[in-house]
Amino acid sequence: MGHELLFLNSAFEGPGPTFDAVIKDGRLRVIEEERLPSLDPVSVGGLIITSHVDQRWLAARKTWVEACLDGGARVVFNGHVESDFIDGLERYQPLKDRSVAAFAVTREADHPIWADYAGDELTFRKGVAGFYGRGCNPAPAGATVINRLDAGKERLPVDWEWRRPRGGRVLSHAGNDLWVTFEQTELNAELVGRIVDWMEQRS
Amino acid sequence: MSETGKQIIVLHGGTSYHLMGVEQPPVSDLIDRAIYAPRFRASDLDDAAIAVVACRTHPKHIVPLAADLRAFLDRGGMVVAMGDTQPQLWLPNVRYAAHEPNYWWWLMQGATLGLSADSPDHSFHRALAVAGCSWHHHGVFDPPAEARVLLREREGRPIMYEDTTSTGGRMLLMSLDPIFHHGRMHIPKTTPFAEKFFAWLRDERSRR
Repeated sequence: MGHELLFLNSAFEGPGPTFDAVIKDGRLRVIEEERLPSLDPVSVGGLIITSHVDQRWLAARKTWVEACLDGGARVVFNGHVESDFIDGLERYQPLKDRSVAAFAVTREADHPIWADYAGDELTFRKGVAGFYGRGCNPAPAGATVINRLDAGKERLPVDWEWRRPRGGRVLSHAGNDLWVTFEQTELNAELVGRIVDWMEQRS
Repeated sequence: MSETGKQIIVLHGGTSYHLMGVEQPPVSDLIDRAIYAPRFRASDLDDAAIAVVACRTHPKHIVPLAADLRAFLDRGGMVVAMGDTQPQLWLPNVRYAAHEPNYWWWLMQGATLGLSADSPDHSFHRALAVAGCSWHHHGVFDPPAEARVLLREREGRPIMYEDTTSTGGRMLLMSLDPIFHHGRMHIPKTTPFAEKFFAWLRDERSRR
């Protein structure tokens, strides 16, 4: 039985055009929050959670999310952690320094999603820094930090991947949804393709 | 004597920006109750003078409460619909058109977002100057003729207005999204907006 990749839709607007291709190709299915618990968590291969998720609702379904991970799923979380929905995650921590230098994104480990994106491409949009992230969800012990903010001082892990000891992987991006990183929709759609590629590589 | 209570309550949808932006200071100190909308009961309105729906609260949470909010309005209550809450789906007489915000107007030296104040004698303008409301807006309203427009965008179309004639109470609608950005700590200007806005609501409540 195949494992399904899901986009958990939490917003009135839906996933938006950057997801058109992966949905049309049948690689990703959009599911509304209230429908999620009706699924067998073990059937889920990957789950994208957006920065608009109802975290109080999600925390009440922690057992379901953890069962999904225990079954080997890859969970991509966007946004700020403000509730307890996966053991090991901690509450969002903003940068203390809010200067342009602190907002600079520095690559710490290679990752297929970020492969050839230079730090500056992530740091600046129209020459302005601070859109990519302004803090971190603290990385669990054993997580691989992919990108840091303020590498010189606070060294906050804005992106990390955690191979969870009990199974599955969690990828955290502590900013806006990853697919609004770039100016051009095509680049964001390419990023979405990479996220789905990565979720498909579950063991 | 008013048939409504004294509380300012804020309904929200449990997102990170609601938990951070409404349930934490400074906003939590300026309101009486933050209510996670799926846990709302009609009796929560018994003690309320003002019910605010926080920015980007999904309308699936609020549409089922439309009749309760209407009854609250008709007994003299005030309902505030903040940005991106789709109030055309749950408040009467609302016509709204969303648009893609201009996030970048401030990159041009000396540029402004182009907002202007209307109804200059309205108490809102003593609490918040136009500059303090200028980050971006998510849509425009086509209010009823009797409504008092408070803020207009560059082309003169309303982005905030008050309607005291469509119901027995007072509706305030805006396409500004201060709680979203304050709760995400993305746009510094939105935090003083939120503080001043809720302080203004407290004044409005005590004037009743």
